[in-house]
Amino acid sequence: MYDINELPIEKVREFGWDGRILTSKIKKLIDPDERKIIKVSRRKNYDLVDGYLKNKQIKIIGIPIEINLQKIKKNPILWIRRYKEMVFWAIKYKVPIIIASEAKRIEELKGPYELISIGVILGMNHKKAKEALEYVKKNKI
Amino acid sequence: MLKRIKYRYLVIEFEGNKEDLKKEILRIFKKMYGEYGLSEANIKFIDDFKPIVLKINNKYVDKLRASIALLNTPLRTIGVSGSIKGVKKWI
Repeated sequence: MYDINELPIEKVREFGWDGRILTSKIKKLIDPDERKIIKVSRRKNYDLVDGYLKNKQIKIIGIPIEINLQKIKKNPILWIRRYKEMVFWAIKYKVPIIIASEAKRIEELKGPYELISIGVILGMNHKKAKEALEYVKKNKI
Repeated sequence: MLKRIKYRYLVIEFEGNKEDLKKEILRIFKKMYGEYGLSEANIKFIDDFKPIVLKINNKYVDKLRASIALLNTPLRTIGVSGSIKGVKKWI
């Protein structure tokens, strides 16, 4: 287990939508099992829908966390534990979440409410889980 | 004081052998939540209708839907209702 408050703060240079250079405090969160780095933005008032911060600052879209249904299918004990922890931190630091079925065949396609309930068992409420489904549509990745 | 258990009725659209699907749903639910969870959920299948109708404890609806999402069979939940009378609008 790791504590987010003990991790070092790093200044990262990023570019805004109009080409201006932005510097922001970003904490590095390292998943010990996967050795992946998750960037967690320290900014407040993270507005998921509009794409801009409330006080006309340029928003940095952090790396959204993707919940993959196929991984949960393969090893539910491992991945439910991992995703639960990731969802907990993502909600705390307002990082966007995506729930994806990653279906490659017709049998693997699932309804929206099934995916929402996957989000609910991982620690989200119904509203957050719905936003996680609509994130790709609204931000046009 | 003990409270009365409330139930929900889940309607599932499915093409294929019903009995196999019932066993599969119970198997995956037991795998996810164990024997205690299965007894708490109190799942019952109602055979009076053409689609599959499930009766379940209302606190376990999300858990059942999540375990249905982990199945490999193609199926679709049409809706959830609080009474048998409400189920009839989807049939």
